[in-house]
Amino acid sequence: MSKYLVAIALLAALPASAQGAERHWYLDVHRFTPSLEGHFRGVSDGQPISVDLRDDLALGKDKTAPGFSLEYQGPRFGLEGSFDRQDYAGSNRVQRDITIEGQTFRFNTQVASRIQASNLSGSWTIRCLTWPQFWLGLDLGARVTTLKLEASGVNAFSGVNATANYKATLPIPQIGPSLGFTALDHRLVGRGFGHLLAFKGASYTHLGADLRYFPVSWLGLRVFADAERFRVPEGSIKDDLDITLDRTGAGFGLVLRF
Amino acid sequence: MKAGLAIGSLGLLGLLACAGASGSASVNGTDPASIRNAPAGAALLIFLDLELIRPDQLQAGASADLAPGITYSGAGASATYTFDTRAANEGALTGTVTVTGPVAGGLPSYTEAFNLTVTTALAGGATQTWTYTGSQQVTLNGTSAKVSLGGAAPIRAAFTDSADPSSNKSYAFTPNLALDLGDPARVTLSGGWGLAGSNGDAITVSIAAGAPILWTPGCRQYPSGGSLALKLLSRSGNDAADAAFDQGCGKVKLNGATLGLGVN
Repeated sequence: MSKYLVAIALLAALPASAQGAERHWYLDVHRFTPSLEGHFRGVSDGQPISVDLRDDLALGKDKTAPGFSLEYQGPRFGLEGSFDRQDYAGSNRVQRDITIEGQTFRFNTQVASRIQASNLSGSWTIRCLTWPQFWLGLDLGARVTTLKLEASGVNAFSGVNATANYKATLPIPQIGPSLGFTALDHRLVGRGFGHLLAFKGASYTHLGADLRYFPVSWLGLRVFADAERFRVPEGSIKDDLDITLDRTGAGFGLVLRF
Repeated sequence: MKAGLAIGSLGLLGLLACAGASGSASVNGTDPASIRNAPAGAALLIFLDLELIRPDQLQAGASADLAPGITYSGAGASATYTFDTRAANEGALTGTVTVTGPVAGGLPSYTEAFNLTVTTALAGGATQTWTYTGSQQVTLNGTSAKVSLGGAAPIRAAFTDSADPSSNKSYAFTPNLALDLGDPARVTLSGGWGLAGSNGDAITVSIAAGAPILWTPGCRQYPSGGSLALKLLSRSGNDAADAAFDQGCGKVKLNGATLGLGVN
């Protein structure tokens, strides 16, 4: 473990020659509206769960709260913290028995559901190789995704109402290469990253691209795309739980640079 | 990069430790109207209304403690029972059951002709109405205390809603029941019944072999024991439900939700 930390420290020290590059803080307000698909199957927190977010619940985008991020980007490293939240809603007559938190919604039940997804991210970017307008680096960070699922349904045959609430918190390390560039005398700033994890058959992929244009030096527009893919087959991280989640979308925002 | 991947693996181990889930779930039975209007609820309530007073009790004559609001006229093989009481769905049950036929060995063997109406007043002046028409054949099984309840023609149960005519429907109720009167303190009913819906749905209700519907002296109007399996055969798909009279007198549990019955 210690040798990995030493390697990271050396990587951080590499771009010392680039200390003449500009340092900036970025504060932005953005709107991000990704799709959300996936399923939970197995046992979670001691309770059976078997539900597909699209096929069973027909979840679609509902509301998006403004997201925020604060960044420092300097010649040797960058720091970033961000938060965003989305609401999804669906209403569907389920075509099979589904189970959430041990509550089974039988076939032919009209199930209304809502998911609130929130994401809190923090990342440290080490710029390993730098050129005047381009850099290559490594991201080290963490991202906590929280999903709150509410479902209620009335069975068409029995008329019985049932409700279920389920909350899953997924803290995910963010590790992987990143790159960036500036152009047009720092009016155009771009960045991309790929965060990849794999362990015992489970995998996590997070790809992103971010482009910012500053018509004036202190205020700019931001467009970005983000895709997350989370695969936890049964028997990988947890013996009795199979999770897949896909979250893909684009966003835009307003950025202050200082 | 190897360092990153190694830390990534450690990170997923951390994920195993830190990932959390919590939640709650409940069966919410606070909407009785939803249960009463659903096919499974209707299958139960129709049965309970038509068997509000068991055949042996009808034959013996309605008593005040059994079902207040039921008056008796005539005698034995030809009698009319006039209802002004509460239905199982808590609506107003009015109308008549006319009994005709021979009496064999002091036990009933006759035809019950139903002409009953259940009216439920809704907010805004609207009404929901169930009408029961048709007959049930009650047949003594030899000299034993066992009686079969059935009929060559089903009893028609028709529902109308003045506020929502699109929900109007009807069922053909066909009982196939066997009543055991051997122990007056423990009258049991076995078998089942079927309902053919006007929309093409077919519902069958089976009384569990090991848990017959049970009447006891402490709860004479409604069963106080027994389990039922309800099955739906529908063009849109099949479904199933379970019911039990294990929640106390005047209550039935359907798919985990407790439904109160109209008690006089």
